[in-house]
Amino acid sequence: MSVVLKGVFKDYPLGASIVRALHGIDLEIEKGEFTTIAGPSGCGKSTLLNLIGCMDVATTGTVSIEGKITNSLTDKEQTNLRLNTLGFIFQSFNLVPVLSVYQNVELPLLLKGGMTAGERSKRISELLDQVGLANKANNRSHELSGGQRQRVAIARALVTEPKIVLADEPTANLDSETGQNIIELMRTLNSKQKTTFIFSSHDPKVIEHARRIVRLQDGRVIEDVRK
Amino acid sequence: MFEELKVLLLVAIRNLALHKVKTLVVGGILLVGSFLVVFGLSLLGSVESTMSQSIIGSVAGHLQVYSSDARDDLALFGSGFFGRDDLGEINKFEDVKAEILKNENVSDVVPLGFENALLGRGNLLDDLFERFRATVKARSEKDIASMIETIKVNLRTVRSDLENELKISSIPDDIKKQIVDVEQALSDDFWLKLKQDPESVLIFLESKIAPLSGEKEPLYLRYMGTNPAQFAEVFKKFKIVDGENIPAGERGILLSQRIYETQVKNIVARGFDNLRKGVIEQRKKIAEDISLKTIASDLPKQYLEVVVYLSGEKRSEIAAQLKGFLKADENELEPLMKKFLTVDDSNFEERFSYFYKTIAPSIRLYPFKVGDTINLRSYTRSGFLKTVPLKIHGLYQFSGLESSDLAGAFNFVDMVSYRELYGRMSSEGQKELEELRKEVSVKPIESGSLEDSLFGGDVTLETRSDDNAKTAGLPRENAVLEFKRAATEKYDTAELNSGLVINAAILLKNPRRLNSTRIELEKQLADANMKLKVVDWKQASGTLGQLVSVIRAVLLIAVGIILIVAMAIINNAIMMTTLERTREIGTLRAIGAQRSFVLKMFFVETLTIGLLATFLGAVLAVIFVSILGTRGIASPSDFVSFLFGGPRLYPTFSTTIAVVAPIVVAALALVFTLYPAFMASRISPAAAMQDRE
Ligand SMILES: Nc1ncnc2c1ncn2[C@@H]1O[C@H](COP(=O)(O)OP(=O)(O)OP(=O)(O)O)[C@@H](O)[C@H]1O
Ligand SMILES: [Mg+2]
Repeated sequence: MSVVLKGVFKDYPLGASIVRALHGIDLEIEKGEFTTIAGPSGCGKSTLLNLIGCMDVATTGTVSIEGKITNSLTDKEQTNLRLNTLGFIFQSFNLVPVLSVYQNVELPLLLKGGMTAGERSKRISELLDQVGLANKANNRSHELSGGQRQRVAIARALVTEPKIVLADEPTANLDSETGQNIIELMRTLNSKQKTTFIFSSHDPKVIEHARRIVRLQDGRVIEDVRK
Repeated sequence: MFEELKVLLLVAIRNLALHKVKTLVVGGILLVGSFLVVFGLSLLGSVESTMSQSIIGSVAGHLQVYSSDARDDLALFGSGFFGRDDLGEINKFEDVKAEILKNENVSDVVPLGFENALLGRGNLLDDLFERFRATVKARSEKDIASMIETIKVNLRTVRSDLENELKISSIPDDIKKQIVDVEQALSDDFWLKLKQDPESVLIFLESKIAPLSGEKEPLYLRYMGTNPAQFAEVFKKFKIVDGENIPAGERGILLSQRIYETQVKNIVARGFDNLRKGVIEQRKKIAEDISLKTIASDLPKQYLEVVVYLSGEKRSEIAAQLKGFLKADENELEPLMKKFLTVDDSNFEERFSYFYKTIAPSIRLYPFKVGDTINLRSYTRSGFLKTVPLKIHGLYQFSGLESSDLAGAFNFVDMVSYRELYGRMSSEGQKELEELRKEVSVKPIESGSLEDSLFGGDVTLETRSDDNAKTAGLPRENAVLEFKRAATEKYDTAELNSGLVINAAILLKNPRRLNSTRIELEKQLADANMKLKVVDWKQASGTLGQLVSVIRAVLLIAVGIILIVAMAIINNAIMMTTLERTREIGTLRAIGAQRSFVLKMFFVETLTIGLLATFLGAVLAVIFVSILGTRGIASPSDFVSFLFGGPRLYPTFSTTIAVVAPIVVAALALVFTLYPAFMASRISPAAAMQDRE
């Protein structure tokens, strides 16, 4: 199992009261699955992905990633897990603005360490080739279109060969066609590399690309279908 | 590790380029801060070194030794009070010197002792009547007649002054009486008496009329007793500019050229000199500068100080020349002179050269010259007013400090004369006195009137001064007559280095070991049972020595405040950019950067801009100091020239300061980055999800 959630509740304090974003989620995602978390705005998609992405901890219940229960990890351990096991793709791309395309993709490798410049270069070129940006390596992010930026983000997410790639509404800032292309690219890479992909969306056109759809409503799983 | 640093530097440099405003603000502040520190400290260091050379090289030497019984601290350049400091005494200087010379770092020990003396300057009419007496004695009818005219002119001025005074005076009766005296001296009957009874005329003038012109302020002379030859040898800045040093075994005084020019010289000439300095050297305007304005407005009031020296043909000659020069209608010298002395910016240069070319040669510019003998009056330790005639052997100055009042404050006398003025006799003098006491059974004498009858004209007496509080309660024995055949007496040069001195300057072979040598000497002297204090030049120079330390403290505090404010601004600027960068930092954290990475990212950013800016600031400061070092900074005042060791300061920079200061400033910036960096490291990786581009 790649991801296992058991009886996960997540409460957010909101002033004096609390908001319950997740109401007892039980979910298992297998290695190499291409899953989407679907649902209307405010249903808890981001909250769920954050828990899986070790950026937040469940109020109750357990989350385990690649067999490791993340609830009680220290910040440092969580960070290492994010670095080594997870890859992230963001709604707003979140490239580091001061760095070039190449440097953005290289960043996780540098944080991870242990590779020579030559090894890094080889890996980055491969990936940029796969996302179709081989000729943009030296551009800065503001010189790219939204779709191109998200491709860079995908390359960055995959560069460390993570077990799981998480993407929170990766197409929300893109037009419909570009969005579908991005999802197609993710799908291609998923099938090639056997990386688990979990992304959220509320766009039906995007959702239909997924092999498994987990529907949330008010913090609960209301539907879980595999195609 | 290396990889990480590479990213850090890369991100830092890119970020600095991206947040240009922040970079400029932080960098600018650090650059200016570092510049100020390096520049300020370099300048101060230079001033400290030139000042130390001024102080060490003029009178202080490296160390000074004086009695530990002293009630006051030694203050060579004044303690801020004009008065007599109690510095105790070193009674057997020969022993002290021998002991100090045992220290292998000591190269020489110079005996010293300083004191203030009064030099009466008489008054204007005194000078005139003195010359009249001589003229009468010479019996030259023509000269006498012309002098009488001069006297009458002066008397008319005195009369009109008195009449003016009468209008506002609270003692009109006294002034009326004085006017009657002046009227009498102006009458023809009075002058007719000159033939039959010249003495009564002269006495009337000298006793009744002379005091009416008012006493000139006495000159205060600070004199320093020493061994003149040794002093000149040891203090390299000391230079004789006129005459010669006091010869070995002879008595006398060396006047400071500075005092001679600025205090002794004729007051009108001095006025011209001071105006010349302001108007021609410093390019100031009389109309705009308050002190120049005051000098200029005083000049015409001082016309008597010129005309009193002109008599007979000279009077009419100068009057005629002035009339032509000024294109005036008047014929009389007085109004012409007043008019001539009324100077302003338009006519000053012309008047100045005319004064020195045409008028100065005919008047007495200095009341005494090299070769003359002056009577130095000073209170002895036992409270007698003692007068010692001393020959002016020469004028001196300290090289580079020619225009400094501080360095030029001293006049040097031989140690033997110093002791006499101090009230301590030479061994020979003491023997002589003993014999005399046997011959004449001496009683306390109240006035000097007996001096001629007792010893002939060449002798001065100590007179007990009634108004000196210091004598109160002293044993009566102190009032015995002491005498000295002063001016001509020779002495054995060995006396200079034995007996009483007040303090002594110690010169070192290796000045770097100043402090350790001072401590060694203190111990050495204590072991030899000599109750003496040894202080360094800084302490010995009084408030002056502490000045640089004070300026340094003030500068550091000011720089400190500026830096703290600057750092607060930097802190703020970094805080602001941190807020702006929340999503970026969240992203870094999300993709696997540790908190420590975020901290380091901030530090590397601050250090990159910090070291760049501070070293640039330091380099600019070094360049600036070097430029000033070749051009020199003009001293704004005579006092500052002393600190500068001359009319210009040629500052040098210290490499240590230029390297350490920027590092310190950058480190300070780093400290002020701690908090924003800490805040940034707390940013949650979930911040990466914040939905905005
Ligand atoms: N940090 C937070 N503090 C308080 N409440 C929060 C916080 N994050 C999310 N919530 C609340 O939790 C619920 C779930 O939010 P979440 O962002 O997971 O929904 P979402 O499905 O991602 O919505 P969207 O499609 O708008 O992104 C919402 O009601 C939201 O208001
Ligand atoms: Mg969301």
